[in-house]
Amino acid sequence: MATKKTMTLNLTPEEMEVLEGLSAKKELSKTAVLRMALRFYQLIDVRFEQGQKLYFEDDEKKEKAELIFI
Amino acid sequence: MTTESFPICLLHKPTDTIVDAVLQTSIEEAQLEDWRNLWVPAREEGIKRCVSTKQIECIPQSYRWKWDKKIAYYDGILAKRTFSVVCNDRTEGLMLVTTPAFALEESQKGKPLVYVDFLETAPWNINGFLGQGEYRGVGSVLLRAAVLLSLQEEYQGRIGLQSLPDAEAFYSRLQMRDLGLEHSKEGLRYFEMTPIEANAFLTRGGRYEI
Repeated sequence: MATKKTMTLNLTPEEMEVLEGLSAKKELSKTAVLRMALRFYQLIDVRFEQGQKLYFEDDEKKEKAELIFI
Repeated sequence: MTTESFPICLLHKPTDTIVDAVLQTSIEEAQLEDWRNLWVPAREEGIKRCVSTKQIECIPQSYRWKWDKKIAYYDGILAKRTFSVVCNDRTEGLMLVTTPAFALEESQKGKPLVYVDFLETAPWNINGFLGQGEYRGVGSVLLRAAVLLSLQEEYQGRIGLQSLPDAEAFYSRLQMRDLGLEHSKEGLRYFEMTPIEANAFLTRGGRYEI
């Protein structure tokens, strides 16, 4: 397993509440949730830089919304 | 990403002997060179033979996969991980996975899993394509690596994949859950392994698996 580095993270109570909620819902440690989030964020960032777009699609309502990153 | 290597065993079918091999937690340039210089020519030879003997059904449906392009496209992306199986300095299997994707099976819905994007054994290992197949166990070694990665990522062993039609029997044999065609836009059957099934898969082991 690759070596890992430790850091301290400062979150607001609201951010911590969301993190704890996701951690419980996904049955993951808070570290695992943040690692997962980092992977999504990097993937989205790289694809945006390449000029690609990200959409949320609702099959039932036939709706498609583009996620805008600034 | 640091590459790690783990000893594994494969079955050499022509001699019915167990041989030592290595599972690598990456696909390096050496593997891509093997793909270009060994896999592609072997695949073309196999396709020619199948066409000349009118056995088109023996052509593996993964024959269009271009590993060099896949690896270049996902270079540096943390969500994508690669694995390879090497035996006697020759690449015998390749796999690309995504961490995370999310489970669709009812009891696990929304929970994270390792999604197997592509898994392929070398053309000379495919039974009926270039003879009886040289090494057996490459696919299950790679699938086992996906389950172990899932455990390491705290996903409890959950994995998922869409299977090409000619590989459906392989995933069914490994007792992955067949969730049918409704989850796939490409018309491929979707298979998942729940934590209980993943645990059973690892426990079953087998003499040709890690």
